[in-house]
Amino acid sequence: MTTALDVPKLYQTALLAYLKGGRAAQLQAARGIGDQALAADLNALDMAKIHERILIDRILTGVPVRRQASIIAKAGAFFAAAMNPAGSTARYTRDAISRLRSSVESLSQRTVELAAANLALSIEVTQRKAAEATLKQSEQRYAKLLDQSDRLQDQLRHMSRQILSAQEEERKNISRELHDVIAQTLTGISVRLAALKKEASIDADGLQRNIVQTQQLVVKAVDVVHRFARELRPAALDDLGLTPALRAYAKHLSAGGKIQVRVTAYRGVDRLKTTDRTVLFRVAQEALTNVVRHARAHQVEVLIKRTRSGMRMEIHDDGRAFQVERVLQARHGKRLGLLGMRERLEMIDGTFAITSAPGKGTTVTASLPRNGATPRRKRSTSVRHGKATA
Amino acid sequence: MSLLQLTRGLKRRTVTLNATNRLLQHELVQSRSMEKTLQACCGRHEKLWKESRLVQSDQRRLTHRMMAVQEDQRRHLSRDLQNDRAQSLLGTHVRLVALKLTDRKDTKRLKDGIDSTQRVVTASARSMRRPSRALGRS
Repeated sequence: MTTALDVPKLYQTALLAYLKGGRAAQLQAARGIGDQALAADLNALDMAKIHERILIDRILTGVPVRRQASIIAKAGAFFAAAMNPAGSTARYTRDAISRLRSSVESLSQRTVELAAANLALSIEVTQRKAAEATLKQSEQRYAKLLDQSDRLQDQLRHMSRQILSAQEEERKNISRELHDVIAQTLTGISVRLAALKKEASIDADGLQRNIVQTQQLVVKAVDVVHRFARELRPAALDDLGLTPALRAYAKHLSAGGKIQVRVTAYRGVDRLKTTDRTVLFRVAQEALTNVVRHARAHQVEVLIKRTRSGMRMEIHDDGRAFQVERVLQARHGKRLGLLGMRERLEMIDGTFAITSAPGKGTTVTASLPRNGATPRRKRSTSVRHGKATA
Repeated sequence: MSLLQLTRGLKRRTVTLNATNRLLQHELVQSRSMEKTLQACCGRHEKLWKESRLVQSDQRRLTHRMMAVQEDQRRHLSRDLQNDRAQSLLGTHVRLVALKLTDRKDTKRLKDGIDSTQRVVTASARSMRRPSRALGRS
Protein backbone atom coordinates (compact mmCIF):
# COMPACT_ATOMS: atom_id res chain seq x y z
CA MET A 1 0.00 0.00 0.00
CA THR A 2 1.34 3.42 -0.94
CA THR A 3 2.13 5.77 1.94
CA ALA A 4 2.42 9.56 1.97
CA LEU A 5 6.23 9.23 1.95
CA ASP A 6 6.21 7.10 -1.24
CA VAL A 7 4.17 9.60 -3.24
CA PRO A 8 6.89 12.32 -3.92
CA LYS A 9 9.29 9.71 -5.36
CA LEU A 10 6.62 8.12 -7.53
CA TYR A 11 5.46 11.55 -8.70
CA GLN A 12 9.00 12.64 -9.55
CA THR A 13 9.72 9.49 -11.64
CA ALA A 14 6.49 9.76 -13.55
CA LEU A 15 6.89 13.52 -14.17
CA LEU A 16 10.42 13.11 -15.47
CA ALA A 17 9.27 10.33 -17.78
CA TYR A 18 6.43 12.51 -19.04
CA LEU A 19 8.67 15.52 -19.64
CA LYS A 20 11.09 13.37 -21.60
CA GLY A 21 8.49 11.50 -23.63
CA GLY A 22 5.61 13.92 -23.57
CA ARG A 23 3.13 11.32 -24.69
CA ALA A 24 -0.45 11.57 -23.64
CA ALA A 25 -0.40 7.93 -22.48
CA GLN A 26 2.01 8.93 -19.78
CA LEU A 27 -0.64 11.23 -18.31
CA GLN A 28 -2.44 8.05 -17.31
CA ALA A 29 0.42 7.45 -14.85
CA ALA A 30 -0.23 10.91 -13.41
CA ARG A 31 -3.87 9.93 -12.71
CA GLY A 32 -2.70 6.71 -11.03
CA ILE A 33 -0.39 8.70 -8.74
CA GLY A 34 -3.28 11.06 -8.01
CA ASP A 35 -5.36 8.06 -6.87
CA GLN A 36 -2.51 6.79 -4.67
CA ALA A 37 -2.06 10.27 -3.13
CA LEU A 38 -5.77 10.38 -2.26
CA ALA A 39 -5.48 6.92 -0.73
CA ALA A 40 -2.51 8.14 1.34
CA ASP A 41 -4.74 10.97 2.58
CA LEU A 42 -2.87 13.73 0.74
CA ASN A 43 -4.96 16.67 -0.40
CA ALA A 44 -4.52 19.07 -3.36
CA LEU A 45 -2.32 21.46 -1.40
CA ASP A 46 0.06 18.66 -0.38
CA MET A 47 0.30 17.57 -4.02
CA ALA A 48 0.96 21.16 -5.14
CA LYS A 49 3.84 21.43 -2.67
CA ILE A 50 5.35 18.11 -3.86
CA HIS A 51 5.01 19.24 -7.51
CA GLU A 52 6.69 22.60 -6.78
CA ARG A 53 9.61 21.08 -4.84
CA ILE A 54 10.35 18.47 -7.53
CA LEU A 55 10.13 21.10 -10.28
CA ILE A 56 12.48 23.53 -8.53
CA ASP A 57 14.92 21.03 -6.97
CA ARG A 58 15.08 18.28 -9.60
CA ILE A 59 13.94 19.53 -12.95
CA LEU A 60 14.58 23.25 -13.45
CA THR A 61 18.01 23.32 -11.88
CA GLY A 62 20.56 23.98 -14.65
CA VAL A 63 17.91 24.41 -17.35
CA PRO A 64 18.34 27.59 -19.39
CA VAL A 65 15.76 30.24 -18.63
CA ARG A 66 14.39 30.29 -22.19
CA ARG A 67 13.39 26.57 -21.86
CA GLN A 68 12.02 26.75 -18.33
CA ALA A 69 8.68 28.24 -19.38
CA SER A 70 7.81 25.35 -21.70
CA ILE A 71 8.89 22.78 -19.05
CA ILE A 72 6.75 24.47 -16.39
CA ALA A 73 3.75 24.49 -18.71
CA LYS A 74 4.19 20.79 -19.60
CA ALA A 75 4.66 19.88 -15.91
CA GLY A 76 1.48 21.86 -15.20
CA ALA A 77 -0.48 19.56 -17.54
CA PHE A 78 0.95 16.55 -15.66
CA PHE A 79 -0.05 18.10 -12.30
CA ALA A 80 -3.54 18.77 -13.57
CA ALA A 81 -3.87 15.12 -14.64
CA ALA A 82 -2.63 13.97 -11.25
CA MET A 83 -5.15 16.20 -9.48
CA ASN A 84 -8.13 14.95 -11.50
CA PRO A 85 -9.11 12.09 -9.08
CA ALA A 86 -9.06 14.55 -6.18
CA GLY A 87 -11.60 16.68 -8.03
CA SER A 88 -13.90 13.67 -8.62
CA THR A 89 -13.64 12.72 -4.99
CA ALA A 90 -14.48 16.24 -3.93
CA ARG A 91 -17.62 16.17 -6.10
CA TYR A 92 -18.56 12.76 -4.74
CA THR A 93 -18.07 14.05 -1.19
CA ARG A 94 -20.12 17.13 -1.93
CA ASP A 95 -22.91 14.93 -3.31
CA ALA A 96 -22.74 12.65 -0.27
CA ILE A 97 -22.82 15.59 2.10
CA SER A 98 -25.73 17.04 0.23
CA ARG A 99 -27.56 13.72 0.46
CA LEU A 100 -26.72 13.48 4.16
CA ARG A 101 -27.96 16.99 4.75
CA SER A 102 -31.16 16.22 2.95
CA SER A 103 -31.50 13.03 5.03
CA VAL A 104 -30.82 14.98 8.22
CA GLU A 105 -33.42 17.53 7.19
CA SER A 106 -36.07 14.94 6.49
CA LEU A 107 -35.18 13.02 9.66
CA SER A 108 -35.31 16.20 11.67
CA GLN A 109 -38.68 17.05 10.17
CA ARG A 110 -39.95 13.53 10.88
CA THR A 111 -38.61 13.75 14.43
CA VAL A 112 -40.34 17.08 14.95
CA GLU A 113 -43.56 15.69 13.48
CA LEU A 114 -43.37 12.56 15.63
CA ALA A 115 -42.61 14.56 18.74
CA ALA A 116 -45.58 16.84 18.00
CA ALA A 117 -47.82 13.83 17.32
CA ASN A 118 -46.65 12.17 20.53
CA LEU A 119 -47.33 15.32 22.49
CA ALA A 120 -50.83 15.56 21.02
CA LEU A 121 -51.40 11.88 21.75
CA SER A 122 -50.14 12.28 25.31
CA ILE A 123 -52.49 15.21 25.85
CA GLU A 124 -55.40 13.23 24.42
CA VAL A 125 -54.54 10.19 26.54
CA THR A 126 -54.39 12.42 29.64
CA GLN A 127 -57.71 14.01 28.74
CA ARG A 128 -59.27 10.59 28.11
CA LYS A 129 -58.01 9.36 31.46
CA ALA A 130 -59.51 12.40 33.17
CA ALA A 131 -62.79 11.78 31.35
CA GLU A 132 -62.57 8.12 32.36
CA ALA A 133 -62.09 9.08 36.00
CA THR A 134 -65.06 11.48 35.83
CA LEU A 135 -67.20 8.79 34.23
CA LYS A 136 -66.17 6.29 36.90
CA GLN A 137 -67.10 8.78 39.63
CA SER A 138 -70.38 9.48 37.92
CA GLU A 139 -71.09 5.76 37.64
CA GLN A 140 -70.30 5.26 41.33
CA ARG A 141 -72.57 8.18 42.23
CA TYR A 142 -75.44 6.73 40.20
CA ALA A 143 -74.85 3.29 41.69
CA LYS A 144 -75.01 4.83 45.18
CA LEU A 145 -78.14 6.81 44.35
CA LEU A 146 -79.74 3.72 42.87
CA ASP A 147 -78.91 1.76 45.99
CA GLN A 148 -80.39 4.50 48.21
CA SER A 149 -83.50 4.65 46.08
CA ASP A 150 -83.86 0.86 46.19
CA ARG A 151 -83.42 0.87 49.95
CA LEU A 152 -86.03 3.58 50.40
CA GLN A 153 -88.45 1.72 48.13
CA ASP A 154 -87.87 -1.41 50.15
CA GLN A 155 -88.57 0.49 53.36
CA LEU A 156 -91.67 2.15 51.91
CA ARG A 157 -92.98 -1.22 50.70
CA HIS A 158 -92.51 -2.67 54.17
CA MET A 159 -94.15 0.34 55.71
CA SER A 160 -97.19 0.00 53.40
CA ARG A 161 -97.45 -3.67 54.36
CA GLN A 162 -97.09 -2.74 58.01
CA ILE A 163 -99.87 -0.16 57.73
CA LEU A 164 -102.14 -2.77 56.12
CA SER A 165 -101.35 -5.41 58.73
CA ALA A 166 -101.69 -2.85 61.55
CA GLN A 167 -105.12 -1.88 60.22
CA GLU A 168 -106.09 -5.51 59.96
CA GLU A 169 -104.82 -6.22 63.47
CA GLU A 170 -106.68 -3.22 64.91
CA ARG A 171 -109.92 -4.31 63.25
CA LYS A 172 -109.47 -7.89 64.42
CA ASN A 173 -108.76 -6.87 68.02
CA ILE A 174 -111.66 -4.45 68.22
CA SER A 175 -114.07 -6.90 66.58
CA ARG A 176 -112.99 -9.68 68.89
CA GLU A 177 -113.34 -7.48 71.97
CA LEU A 178 -116.73 -6.11 70.94
CA HIS A 179 -118.14 -9.46 69.78
CA ASP A 180 -116.61 -11.93 72.15
CA VAL A 181 -116.09 -9.92 75.33
CA ILE A 182 -118.45 -6.94 75.52
CA ALA A 183 -121.40 -8.50 73.67
CA GLN A 184 -120.99 -11.65 75.77
CA THR A 185 -120.88 -9.53 78.92
CA LEU A 186 -124.06 -7.78 77.84
CA THR A 187 -125.72 -11.12 77.12
CA GLY A 188 -124.67 -12.19 80.61
CA ILE A 189 -126.19 -8.99 82.00
CA SER A 190 -129.40 -9.68 80.11
CA VAL A 191 -129.57 -13.20 81.57
CA ARG A 192 -128.84 -11.76 85.01
CA LEU A 193 -131.66 -9.24 84.56
CA ALA A 194 -134.03 -12.02 83.54
CA ALA A 195 -133.13 -13.79 86.75
CA LEU A 196 -133.56 -10.56 88.72
CA LYS A 197 -137.06 -10.18 87.31
CA LYS A 198 -137.98 -13.54 88.77
CA GLU A 199 -136.37 -12.67 92.09
CA ALA A 200 -137.75 -9.15 92.25
CA SER A 201 -140.61 -9.91 94.60
CA ILE A 202 -138.65 -12.32 96.78
CA ASP A 203 -135.35 -10.61 97.79
CA ALA A 204 -135.05 -6.84 97.43
CA ASP A 205 -131.53 -6.74 99.02
CA GLY A 206 -130.29 -9.43 96.67
CA LEU A 207 -131.73 -7.42 93.80
CA GLN A 208 -129.83 -4.33 94.93
CA ARG A 209 -126.57 -6.29 95.16
CA ASN A 210 -127.08 -7.77 91.73
CA ILE A 211 -127.77 -4.38 90.20
CA VAL A 212 -124.48 -3.04 91.65
CA GLN A 213 -122.52 -6.01 90.25
CA THR A 214 -124.20 -5.54 86.89
CA GLN A 215 -123.31 -1.84 86.95
CA GLN A 216 -119.68 -2.74 87.59
CA LEU A 217 -119.72 -5.01 84.54
CA VAL A 218 -121.20 -2.25 82.41
CA VAL A 219 -118.63 0.31 83.64
CA LYS A 220 -115.85 -2.14 82.79
CA ALA A 221 -117.27 -2.58 79.29
CA VAL A 222 -117.51 1.19 78.86
CA ASP A 223 -113.86 1.50 79.93
CA VAL A 224 -112.82 -1.11 77.36
CA VAL A 225 -114.66 0.70 74.58
CA HIS A 226 -113.19 4.04 75.64
CA ARG A 227 -109.69 2.57 75.78
CA PHE A 228 -110.04 1.27 72.25
CA ALA A 229 -111.35 4.59 71.04
CA ARG A 230 -108.53 6.46 72.77
CA GLU A 231 -105.89 4.12 71.37
CA LEU A 232 -107.26 4.53 67.88
CA ARG A 233 -107.46 8.28 68.06
CA PRO A 234 -108.03 10.36 71.17
CA ALA A 235 -111.22 12.38 70.96
CA ALA A 236 -109.34 15.24 72.65
CA LEU A 237 -107.27 15.69 69.50
CA ASP A 238 -110.37 16.63 67.49
CA ASP A 239 -112.45 18.18 70.24
CA LEU A 240 -109.86 20.05 72.34
CA GLY A 241 -106.67 20.31 70.27
CA LEU A 242 -103.09 19.05 70.12
CA THR A 243 -101.87 20.19 73.53
CA PRO A 244 -104.65 18.54 75.59
CA ALA A 245 -104.33 15.37 73.54
CA LEU A 246 -100.55 15.30 74.09
CA ARG A 247 -100.93 16.07 77.79
CA ALA A 248 -103.46 13.25 78.18
CA TYR A 249 -101.08 10.87 76.40
CA ALA A 250 -98.14 12.10 78.53
CA LYS A 251 -100.20 11.57 81.69
CA HIS A 252 -101.03 8.04 80.57
CA LEU A 253 -97.30 7.30 79.97
CA SER A 254 -96.24 8.90 83.25
CA ALA A 255 -98.81 6.87 85.17
CA GLY A 256 -96.40 3.96 85.55
CA GLY A 257 -94.02 6.21 87.52
CA LYS A 258 -90.90 5.18 85.59
CA ILE A 259 -90.87 8.17 83.29
CA GLN A 260 -91.86 11.82 83.54
CA VAL A 261 -93.20 13.48 80.41
CA ARG A 262 -93.63 17.26 80.31
CA VAL A 263 -95.50 19.01 77.51
CA THR A 264 -95.00 22.72 76.78
CA ALA A 265 -96.63 24.43 73.81
CA TYR A 266 -97.27 27.96 72.60
CA ARG A 267 -100.83 29.16 72.80
CA GLY A 268 -101.69 29.22 69.10
CA VAL A 269 -100.78 25.58 68.48
CA ASP A 270 -104.36 24.40 68.87
CA ARG A 271 -105.39 26.48 65.88
CA LEU A 272 -103.42 24.19 63.58
CA LYS A 273 -105.25 22.39 60.75
CA THR A 274 -106.60 18.92 61.64
CA THR A 275 -104.11 17.23 59.29
CA ASP A 276 -101.11 19.07 60.77
CA ARG A 277 -102.38 18.43 64.30
CA THR A 278 -102.81 14.73 63.57
CA VAL A 279 -99.31 14.39 62.05
CA LEU A 280 -97.68 16.14 65.00
CA PHE A 281 -99.62 13.99 67.45
CA ARG A 282 -98.63 10.79 65.64
CA VAL A 283 -94.96 11.84 65.46
CA ALA A 284 -94.94 12.64 69.18
CA GLN A 285 -96.79 9.40 69.95
CA GLU A 286 -94.24 7.36 67.98
CA ALA A 287 -91.27 9.22 69.52
CA LEU A 288 -92.63 8.76 73.06
CA THR A 289 -93.40 5.08 72.42
CA ASN A 290 -89.78 4.64 71.26
CA VAL A 291 -88.50 6.37 74.41
CA VAL A 292 -90.57 4.05 76.61
CA ARG A 293 -89.55 0.94 74.66
CA HIS A 294 -85.85 1.55 74.03
CA ALA A 295 -84.35 4.61 75.72
CA ARG A 296 -84.60 3.75 79.44
CA ALA A 297 -85.11 7.48 80.01
CA HIS A 298 -86.37 9.19 83.16
CA GLN A 299 -87.34 12.57 81.76
CA VAL A 300 -88.91 13.52 78.46
CA GLU A 301 -89.66 17.04 77.35
CA VAL A 302 -92.09 17.80 74.54
CA LEU A 303 -91.67 21.40 73.45
CA ILE A 304 -93.75 23.02 70.70
CA LYS A 305 -92.61 26.49 69.74
CA ARG A 306 -93.15 29.06 67.05
CA THR A 307 -90.21 29.78 64.72
CA ARG A 308 -89.52 32.41 62.08
CA SER A 309 -90.34 29.96 59.29
CA GLY A 310 -93.27 28.23 60.98
CA MET A 311 -93.24 26.00 64.02
CA ARG A 312 -91.13 23.28 65.57
CA MET A 313 -91.81 20.39 67.91
CA GLU A 314 -88.89 18.93 69.86
CA ILE A 315 -89.03 15.75 71.88
CA HIS A 316 -85.94 15.37 74.02
CA ASP A 317 -85.17 12.49 76.37
CA ASP A 318 -82.29 11.79 78.77
CA GLY A 319 -82.05 8.12 77.85
CA ARG A 320 -79.39 6.07 76.09
CA ALA A 321 -78.32 7.00 72.57
CA PHE A 322 -78.51 4.92 69.41
CA GLN A 323 -77.04 4.99 65.88
CA VAL A 324 -79.69 6.78 63.89
CA GLU A 325 -78.07 6.20 60.49
CA ARG A 326 -77.94 2.46 60.99
CA VAL A 327 -81.56 2.37 62.06
CA LEU A 328 -82.63 4.55 59.12
CA GLN A 329 -80.78 2.35 56.64
CA ALA A 330 -82.13 -0.92 58.00
CA ARG A 331 -83.74 -3.02 55.31
CA HIS A 332 -86.49 -5.62 55.35
CA GLY A 333 -89.00 -3.73 57.43
CA LYS A 334 -86.89 -3.33 60.55
CA ARG A 335 -87.28 -0.17 62.65
CA LEU A 336 -89.74 1.64 60.39
CA GLY A 337 -90.85 4.03 63.14
CA LEU A 338 -88.37 6.76 62.20
CA LEU A 339 -89.23 6.41 58.52
CA GLY A 340 -92.94 6.59 59.41
CA MET A 341 -92.41 9.86 61.29
CA ARG A 342 -90.47 11.29 58.37
CA GLU A 343 -93.06 10.23 55.80
CA ARG A 344 -95.93 11.63 57.86
CA LEU A 345 -94.14 14.98 58.04
CA GLU A 346 -93.41 14.92 54.31
CA MET A 347 -97.14 14.56 53.69
CA ILE A 348 -97.59 18.07 55.08
CA ASP A 349 -94.32 19.50 53.71
CA GLY A 350 -92.65 19.26 57.09
CA THR A 351 -89.14 18.15 57.92
CA PHE A 352 -87.89 15.57 60.36
CA ALA A 353 -84.55 15.42 62.17
CA ILE A 354 -83.18 13.26 64.93
CA THR A 355 -79.95 13.56 66.86
CA SER A 356 -78.68 11.03 69.33
CA ALA A 357 -75.40 11.18 71.23
CA PRO A 358 -74.11 9.25 74.25
CA GLY A 359 -74.65 11.21 77.43
CA LYS A 360 -76.87 13.74 75.68
CA GLY A 361 -79.91 11.60 74.96
CA THR A 362 -82.02 11.81 71.85
CA THR A 363 -83.87 14.73 70.29
CA VAL A 364 -86.55 14.31 67.66
CA THR A 365 -87.39 17.51 65.80
CA ALA A 366 -90.41 18.03 63.58
CA SER A 367 -90.65 21.33 61.75
CA LEU A 368 -93.63 22.69 59.85
CA PRO A 369 -93.57 25.63 57.46
CA ARG A 370 -95.88 28.55 58.05
CA ASN A 371 -99.29 28.09 56.40
CA GLY A 372 -99.05 28.90 52.72
CA ALA A 373 -95.25 28.74 52.72
CA THR A 374 -93.67 27.23 49.65
CA PRO A 375 -93.45 23.46 50.12
CA ARG A 376 -89.93 22.17 50.34
CA ARG A 377 -89.11 19.64 47.69
CA LYS A 378 -85.81 18.68 49.32
CA ARG A 379 -85.65 15.35 51.14
CA SER A 380 -86.35 15.98 54.77
CA THR A 381 -83.58 13.70 56.01
CA SER A 382 -80.07 14.91 56.69
CA VAL A 383 -77.02 13.64 58.53
CA ARG A 384 -75.04 15.95 60.76
CA HIS A 385 -71.43 15.32 61.80
CA GLY A 386 -70.74 12.31 64.03
CA LYS A 387 -74.02 12.42 65.77
CA ALA A 388 -76.55 10.84 63.59
CA THR A 389 -79.22 13.13 62.33
CA ALA A 390 -81.97 11.88 60.13
CA MET B 1 -18.40 12.89 10.72
CA SER B 2 -20.63 15.10 12.74
CA LEU B 3 -23.31 14.86 10.04
CA LEU B 4 -23.15 11.08 10.17
CA GLN B 5 -23.38 11.15 13.96
CA LEU B 6 -26.29 13.55 13.73
CA THR B 7 -28.02 11.27 11.24
CA ARG B 8 -27.48 8.22 13.44
CA GLY B 9 -28.78 10.11 16.48
CA LEU B 10 -31.81 11.31 14.56
CA LYS B 11 -32.53 7.78 13.34
CA ARG B 12 -32.37 6.44 16.90
CA ARG B 13 -34.65 9.25 18.10
CA THR B 14 -37.10 8.57 15.26
CA VAL B 15 -37.22 4.86 16.14
CA THR B 16 -37.86 5.69 19.81
CA LEU B 17 -40.51 8.25 18.90
CA ASN B 18 -42.19 5.78 16.54
CA ALA B 19 -42.34 3.16 19.29
CA THR B 20 -43.76 5.70 21.77
CA ASN B 21 -46.24 6.80 19.14
CA ARG B 22 -47.46 3.24 18.62
CA LEU B 23 -47.80 2.75 22.39
CA LEU B 24 -49.72 5.99 22.77
CA GLN B 25 -52.03 5.12 19.91
CA HIS B 26 -52.69 1.72 21.44
CA GLU B 27 -53.37 3.34 24.79
CA LEU B 28 -55.70 5.83 23.13
CA VAL B 29 -57.66 3.07 21.42
CA GLN B 30 -58.04 1.27 24.75
CA SER B 31 -58.98 4.50 26.49
CA ARG B 32 -61.63 5.30 23.87
CA SER B 33 -63.06 1.83 24.20
CA MET B 34 -63.10 2.12 28.01
CA GLU B 35 -64.73 5.54 27.79
CA LYS B 36 -67.42 4.17 25.50
CA THR B 37 -68.11 1.29 27.89
CA LEU B 38 -68.23 3.63 30.87
CA GLN B 39 -70.56 6.03 29.06
CA ALA B 40 -72.91 3.16 28.27
CA CYS B 41 -72.72 1.95 31.86
CA CYS B 42 -73.33 5.44 33.21
CA GLY B 43 -76.27 5.91 30.88
CA ARG B 44 -77.75 2.61 32.02
CA HIS B 45 -77.29 3.51 35.68
CA GLU B 46 -78.79 6.95 35.16
CA LYS B 47 -81.79 5.43 33.40
CA LEU B 48 -82.24 2.86 36.18
CA TRP B 49 -81.94 5.57 38.80
CA LYS B 50 -84.54 7.74 37.07
CA GLU B 51 -86.89 4.76 36.80
CA SER B 52 -86.22 3.88 40.41
CA ARG B 53 -87.04 7.45 41.46
CA LEU B 54 -90.33 7.27 39.62
CA VAL B 55 -91.19 3.99 41.35
CA GLN B 56 -90.04 5.48 44.65
CA SER B 57 -92.25 8.50 44.10
CA ASP B 58 -95.25 6.25 43.35
CA GLN B 59 -94.43 4.11 46.36
CA ARG B 60 -94.22 7.21 48.56
CA ARG B 61 -97.57 8.51 47.28
CA LEU B 62 -99.11 5.11 47.97
CA THR B 63 -97.66 5.02 51.50
CA HIS B 64 -98.90 8.55 52.21
CA ARG B 65 -102.33 7.64 50.89
CA MET B 66 -102.39 4.53 53.07
CA MET B 67 -101.37 6.58 56.10
CA ALA B 68 -104.14 9.07 55.41
CA VAL B 69 -106.71 6.28 54.93
CA GLN B 70 -105.53 4.58 58.11
CA GLU B 71 -105.91 7.82 60.05
CA ASP B 72 -109.34 8.38 58.56
CA GLN B 73 -110.48 4.88 59.51
CA ARG B 74 -109.12 5.29 63.02
CA ARG B 75 -111.02 8.55 63.39
CA HIS B 76 -114.28 6.97 62.21
CA LEU B 77 -113.83 3.88 64.31
CA SER B 78 -112.95 5.90 67.38
CA ARG B 79 -116.03 8.08 66.86
CA ASP B 80 -118.15 5.01 66.29
CA LEU B 81 -116.91 3.42 69.51
CA GLN B 82 -117.35 6.56 71.58
CA ASN B 83 -120.56 7.96 70.17
CA ASP B 84 -122.45 4.77 69.44
CA ARG B 85 -121.22 1.76 71.39
CA ALA B 86 -120.08 3.55 74.55
CA GLN B 87 -123.26 5.64 74.57
CA SER B 88 -125.31 2.50 74.30
CA LEU B 89 -123.47 1.04 77.31
CA LEU B 90 -123.92 4.27 79.22
CA GLY B 91 -127.65 4.00 78.48
CA THR B 92 -127.63 0.59 80.17
CA HIS B 93 -125.75 2.09 83.08
CA VAL B 94 -128.31 4.89 83.46
CA ARG B 95 -131.14 2.33 83.38
CA LEU B 96 -129.43 0.34 86.11
CA VAL B 97 -129.03 3.49 88.22
CA ALA B 98 -132.74 4.23 87.76
CA LEU B 99 -133.54 0.63 88.67
CA LYS B 100 -131.49 0.91 91.82
CA LEU B 101 -133.45 3.99 92.84
CA THR B 102 -136.87 2.36 92.22
CA ASP B 103 -138.94 1.62 95.29
CA ARG B 104 -138.18 -2.01 96.23
CA LYS B 105 -141.71 -2.57 97.36
CA ASP B 106 -143.20 -1.48 94.06
CA THR B 107 -142.69 -4.86 92.43
CA LYS B 108 -144.51 -3.92 89.25
CA ARG B 109 -142.39 -0.82 88.61
CA LEU B 110 -139.31 -2.82 89.48
CA LYS B 111 -140.20 -5.54 86.98
CA ASP B 112 -141.03 -2.93 84.32
CA GLY B 113 -137.67 -1.27 85.00
CA ILE B 114 -135.87 -4.59 84.68
CA ASP B 115 -137.77 -5.24 81.43
CA SER B 116 -136.83 -1.90 79.97
CA THR B 117 -133.16 -2.28 81.10
CA GLN B 118 -133.08 -5.73 79.55
CA ARG B 119 -134.31 -4.29 76.28
CA VAL B 120 -131.58 -1.63 76.35
CA VAL B 121 -128.96 -4.28 77.17
CA THR B 122 -130.14 -6.50 74.33
CA ALA B 123 -130.06 -3.56 71.94
CA SER B 124 -126.60 -2.70 73.21
CA ALA B 125 -125.38 -6.28 72.76
CA ARG B 126 -126.81 -6.20 69.25
CA SER B 127 -125.03 -2.91 68.57
CA MET B 128 -121.75 -4.47 69.72
CA ARG B 129 -122.20 -7.30 67.23
CA ARG B 130 -123.24 -4.96 64.45
CA PRO B 131 -120.37 -4.54 62.03
CA SER B 132 -118.96 -1.05 61.91
CA ARG B 133 -118.45 0.63 58.56
CA ALA B 134 -115.03 1.58 59.80
CA LEU B 135 -114.36 -2.03 60.74
CA GLY B 136 -115.13 -3.19 57.22
CA ARG B 137 -116.38 -6.79 56.99
CA SER B 138 -115.67 -7.73 60.60
